[in-house]
Amino acid sequence: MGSMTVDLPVSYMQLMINSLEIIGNFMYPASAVTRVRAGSINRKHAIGR
Amino acid sequence: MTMKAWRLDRLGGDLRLENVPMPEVRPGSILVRVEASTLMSYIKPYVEGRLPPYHAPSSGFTPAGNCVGTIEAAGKDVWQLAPGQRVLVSSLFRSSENVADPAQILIGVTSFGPDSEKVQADWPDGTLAEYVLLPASSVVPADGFEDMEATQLAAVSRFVIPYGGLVRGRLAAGETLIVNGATGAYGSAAVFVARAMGAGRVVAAGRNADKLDILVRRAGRAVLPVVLSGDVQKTRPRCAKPQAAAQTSASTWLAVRPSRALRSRLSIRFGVVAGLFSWGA
Repeated sequence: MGSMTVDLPVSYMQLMINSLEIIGNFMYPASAVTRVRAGSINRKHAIGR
Repeated sequence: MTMKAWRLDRLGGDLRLENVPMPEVRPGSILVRVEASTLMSYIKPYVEGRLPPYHAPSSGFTPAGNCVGTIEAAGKDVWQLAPGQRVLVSSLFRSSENVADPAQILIGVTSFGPDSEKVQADWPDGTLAEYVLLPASSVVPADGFEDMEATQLAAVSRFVIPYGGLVRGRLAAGETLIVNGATGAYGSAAVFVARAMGAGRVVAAGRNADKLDILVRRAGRAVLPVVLSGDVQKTRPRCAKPQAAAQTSASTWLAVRPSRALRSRLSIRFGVVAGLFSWGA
């Protein structure tokens, strides 16, 4: 996520041996805003309570 | 009927507050009276035309995407949204055509290639105006948030973006998340969202030590700040027990605002953090 204008080289061996996963992600699914209301995330925990 | 709107003739051009005709409601659209528009954290360089990847409408337009507002009018072919409803406006608009690669734009911000430019030409204007005409699918009813001021609720747009990434990255309760760029607009939001989703620990990496301190004060002790100095040997967690960080095995790594230095850090993280799954930028 985010705007990076340079390439991102990775070590293939490290990626493979450690079973790493790299995901590129743009924005969010259409349902994301509604899910907050449905209680998928806990707003109190977000502020350290 | 006219309204006031900020108009930008092109990226890098003149930004002026002007009187413009009120948009006419058309099928599938809704007219929203803007209560609070969320300025992008990068709006200054964007308006000044200093961000090469961004592509604005070819003629003048009203910039800025996300906002909180109230539906003023709904066009034909809009069925479940009605005037008077308070809504959150998302700048992210995807074509509903059932094709292999539906075009998407960020309304009032940018398009992404030829098909996307066609969408942008039909929906050129953003939310720095008294009213904005939008495709119906770009708004979400703000039910349940009646107690929040529009300016406070408008911050949802800062949080929903890292939320989208964390859902995609399958962050689960109790897991450790590393946020690279944690003092930025979206990175700091990612720290709070991750805690709200139940992350057990959030390693917050950023260059600004003061901002990291504020993050820890606000988001709690589950947040482990790491000041990035540009020198890997000097980069240490800011906590009483540095070894705790060294032993941390992160399951998700969120890079929301990576810099050129990321490449060197990434290779080192690969070596240090076992079980890391990174999602990069």
